[in-house]
Amino acid sequence: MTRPSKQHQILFVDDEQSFLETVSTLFVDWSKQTWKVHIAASTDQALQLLKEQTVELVVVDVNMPVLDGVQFLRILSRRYPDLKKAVLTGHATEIKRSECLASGAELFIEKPHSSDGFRATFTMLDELITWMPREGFQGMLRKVGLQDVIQMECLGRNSSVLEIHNQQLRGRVYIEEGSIIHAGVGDLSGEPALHKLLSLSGGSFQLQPFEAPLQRTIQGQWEFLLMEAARVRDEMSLHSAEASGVETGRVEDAGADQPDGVKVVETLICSGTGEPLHAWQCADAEARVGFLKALAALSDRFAQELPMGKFDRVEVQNAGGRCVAQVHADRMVFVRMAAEGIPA
Amino acid sequence: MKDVFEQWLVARVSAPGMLVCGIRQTDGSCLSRGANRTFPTEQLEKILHTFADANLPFPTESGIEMWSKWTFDEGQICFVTRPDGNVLALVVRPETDAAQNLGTLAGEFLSLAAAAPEPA
Repeated sequence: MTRPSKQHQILFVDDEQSFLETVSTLFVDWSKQTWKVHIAASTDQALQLLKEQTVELVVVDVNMPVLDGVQFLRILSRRYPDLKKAVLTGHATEIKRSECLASGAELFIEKPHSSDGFRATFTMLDELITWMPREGFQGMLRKVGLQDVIQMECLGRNSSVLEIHNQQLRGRVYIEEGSIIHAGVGDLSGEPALHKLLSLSGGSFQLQPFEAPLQRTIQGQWEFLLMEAARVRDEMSLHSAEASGVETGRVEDAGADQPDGVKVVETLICSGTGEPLHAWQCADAEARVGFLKALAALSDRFAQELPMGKFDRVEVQNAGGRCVAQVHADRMVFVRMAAEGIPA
Repeated sequence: MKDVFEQWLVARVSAPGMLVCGIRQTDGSCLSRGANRTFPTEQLEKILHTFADANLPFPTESGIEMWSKWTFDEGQICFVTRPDGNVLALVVRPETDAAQNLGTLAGEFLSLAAAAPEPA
């Protein structure tokens, strides 16, 4: 039989030798020689082989000694971000499935036990090997700065959407024909959102094909926008350093979502019954306690109408400023900040 | 203005994570749309009236436009008050698309203009 000009390179990693022999024979045959199957009985062997041979798809057994499949997937994702990965396991559980998919596997399949099962597995893997990912790329902020990516997109006069996320938040920057036109993260949009995203110290991003945002909140030349973002980030670092003392009035746990760098101008912490425990620049503590109690009563009424669980806090913003009030059974906290502009 | 509000609510109620949304108009009447049976529009309208009637003295300095987000364990309510007195309430599940976009939705509501003349 004539060998096809291009063969897909697939690596199976499994400590079960008989399984490796079966897939090598069956899958190469079914692929009509379009597959070149490599096998490795351990993760060590697999890593060695990957150094010597370009592979498009790795199929991993999730239960292996020394280094299990999930850890192995994470290593592969870091070292070979373009490599497609699938998991075959004899012990499929929902937890393992979630772990494997979160660690970079595109497919999670139960090990076949019948001829039909092997055929179905082959079909799925063959689909995966010929599947083209949607346009775009992925990266890590540790390796490439967000600012660099935005700069490249703007210089190239590209249109794209940069999706950025870490464990706490998820945001987007919209770039159209080399201009930054919108950014959004949490309740922020526009330049404050861009500044917040560009101030992140770690996380992941994906560059996605452009889609028009619901609104355009950013104007101006990208060079100035990035310069301003850098200035704000530096200022925020300075504020953070200064804010380590009580004199600054910064209360770290009062408003978890408060934008970094916002200047706190008033703080009140009191017991659950309203007895002031700590006040800073609070001209009328009694009025503030009254406000917190009114909030507590109002939140109780809301919770009676709709099943939303326990009340945590309210954030208020208008042109004059922003405040966060947290009402718990054992404590109440009020923090007021200088105006930063209402979310547009 | 009612038609503009109606259209906007219909377009936004299907956002992933949106549970129910409504607007209390300046004449005290409410428009609302729901996406979840557990969160009836009637209850949201009660909340809108309670919020508007409470007239809480929010301690931010000035400004007529106001945005507030009330966070509960299993839901968030966002109220947005326009300068003309119309009040929007959005009830969303935390950590969903709708919750991530509250700022955007608030901005849209504040910028809604009277696209059609008031009925006679």
